[in-house]
Amino acid sequence: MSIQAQLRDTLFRAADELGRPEPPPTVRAMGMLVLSRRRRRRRAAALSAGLAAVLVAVAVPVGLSVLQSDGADERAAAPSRIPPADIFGAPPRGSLAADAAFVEAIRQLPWAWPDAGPGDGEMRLPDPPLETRSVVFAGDVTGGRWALVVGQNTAQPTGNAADGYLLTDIGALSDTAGAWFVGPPGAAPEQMLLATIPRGIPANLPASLHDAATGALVLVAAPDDVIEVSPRPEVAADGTVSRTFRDTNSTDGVAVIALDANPYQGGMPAPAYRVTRRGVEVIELNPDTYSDPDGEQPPGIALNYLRPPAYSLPEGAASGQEQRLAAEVLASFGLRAGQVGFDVHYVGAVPGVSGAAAELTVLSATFPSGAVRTTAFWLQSIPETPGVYGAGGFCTESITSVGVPAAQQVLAMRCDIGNDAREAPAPVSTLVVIAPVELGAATAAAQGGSDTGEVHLADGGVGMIEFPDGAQSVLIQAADGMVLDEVPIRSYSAGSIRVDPDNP
Amino acid sequence: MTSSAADSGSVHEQFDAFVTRRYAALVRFGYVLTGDRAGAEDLVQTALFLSFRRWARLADPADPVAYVRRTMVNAQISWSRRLSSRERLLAEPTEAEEYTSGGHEDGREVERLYLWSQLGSLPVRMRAVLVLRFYEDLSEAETANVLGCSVGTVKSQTSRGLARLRRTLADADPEPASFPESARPAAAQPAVSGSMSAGMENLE
Repeated sequence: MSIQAQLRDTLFRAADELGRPEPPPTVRAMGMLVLSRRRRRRRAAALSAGLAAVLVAVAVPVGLSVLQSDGADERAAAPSRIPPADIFGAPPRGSLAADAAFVEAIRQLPWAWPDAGPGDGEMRLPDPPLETRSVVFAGDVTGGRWALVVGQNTAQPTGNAADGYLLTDIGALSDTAGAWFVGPPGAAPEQMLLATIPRGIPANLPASLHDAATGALVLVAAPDDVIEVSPRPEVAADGTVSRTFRDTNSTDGVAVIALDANPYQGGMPAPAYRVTRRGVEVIELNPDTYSDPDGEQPPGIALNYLRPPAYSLPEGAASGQEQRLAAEVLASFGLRAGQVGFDVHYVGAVPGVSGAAAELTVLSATFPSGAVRTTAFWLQSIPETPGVYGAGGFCTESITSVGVPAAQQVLAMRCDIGNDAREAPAPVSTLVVIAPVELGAATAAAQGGSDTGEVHLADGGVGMIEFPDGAQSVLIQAADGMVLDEVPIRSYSAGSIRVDPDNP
Repeated sequence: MTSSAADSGSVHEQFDAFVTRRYAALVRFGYVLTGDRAGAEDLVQTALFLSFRRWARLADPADPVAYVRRTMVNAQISWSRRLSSRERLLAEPTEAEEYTSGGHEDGREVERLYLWSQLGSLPVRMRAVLVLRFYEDLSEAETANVLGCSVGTVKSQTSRGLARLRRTLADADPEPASFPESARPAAAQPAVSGSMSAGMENLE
């Protein structure tokens, strides 16, 4: 029998073994509708997780946040899940609420966002008619004076743009739009400036704003809501990350809190809040963020370079990815620079798509508990336009328990380098192995896949090869062949490479 | 009933009719594509979900099996890229009993099981080419269309895939007792986990 006939027989007999599977309810039209709604919710969560990578490639103005929980379609889908509340219809709250002249002047402030163009639908911003506007919060906070104004959402998407699948701002369908105004301590109304991009906000979910540089955090919920805050996530010695929420003892559904100030920004903000309404948890989320565009630049973070950086992008050291990654750790975990030890394992070239220059930065952060967070981030430039990056994403972002010091660890990771463009070439997959320099001329043999691959670590303990199909770990061998270690290959499952079956 | 609601009802009915008619065939196709029943069901669910969302725009909404099949192949390739570090299921547990209860006396049956297990060692795109060519009986041009590659690529992938399987069979002794341990399906394998079971989660 020919191999073709054998193969055909094998495939058909394997399929016959299944019999005739019956379709479960989940794959029928009603099941698909349920899945579609669930997908939108998960998409919102994924968007928040992927925000750091997006920030590199796209200029996302501060204040534009997609983290504001479910939108109008969600409320329509499950009206009983979140107890209704009219958060923004209540009288003004906050320490300046009784100052009628101030409140009225704030209500009349223009909503024009300085960078907004003429708008073609996608970029159209709400500008509520004055008669629909009201001040929800006005008060003094640490380092300034803040106000939240709401009004009619005049920029609800229409047509295809109203498809929940296409929406990135999930409050966009709401009838209500909101904007925060910020001024210096004791600011007069005319000193209060639009601080966040006006956008639709769900009327039954809290609004929030946080300035890491001052530590100010304001949460505006319904008057009877219970507001709890967690200042930052805790990383335990075993690598687990947890949070402790404490009741803010808020009055009238408003919490004005002074957290520890942190000059660094990036990634997810360290604080999180949780709101409970009539015994039902309404939301647990990180707050929206604001930063003073004229604020001081934070000082550089002390980094321990385990090998000399070899900057490969046209900007050289100016790309500064290791500083950015370190700042993200401090900002998203709410820690001071001296509390975290940073080791830079590698800064240098990695194979890019179609020969384009790409740079990989691998950084470890050792937390006070001793747990180690390793981040590997790649960036690919567009050759014709230095300073503009075609894409960026993570090879790994993982936390390991106390054990081998970061500088002594052998790291093996898969880097899938590509971009999101629909017509883009297939991603380039590379196995990257980084070992301590002291190891000398060693090799790393890929294990577990159908293809074998051997990485030579002669050049300062770093080696790369095309990713061997199916490889799961690497075996580290000294020059004399002695097996030293076997380490798993790390990867990043929610990276910026989005291989979307919907766009084959 | 408004016209849009009526349209919606019609689309839903059309979709459900398609699912009833094609589900079994799609799962069987998914199974030979992945080697894993749970993975096949995940794959079909994903493809149906993506098709459902654009049902009204499909060229053949009455029976868009070609579109769904193409979506399944692309989803499988995408997942394998993202989940390549996970364990892979090499064979179905149900076959173990057959293997150990006398089936091994039939050399052809053992060869078939061995061939099935070795399909799991092929790169996912190569396996897809072989499945489309020898299970779906698509032409080289049709296979190229599904995979979005050239006919030349289909030719070379087919040739290499068959050569690899032929070599694997030739390297193994046809006597059942001499076949590598890895050929023993399922129960003889150590840890086995569904590589595709997280498929929907990743898609979402």
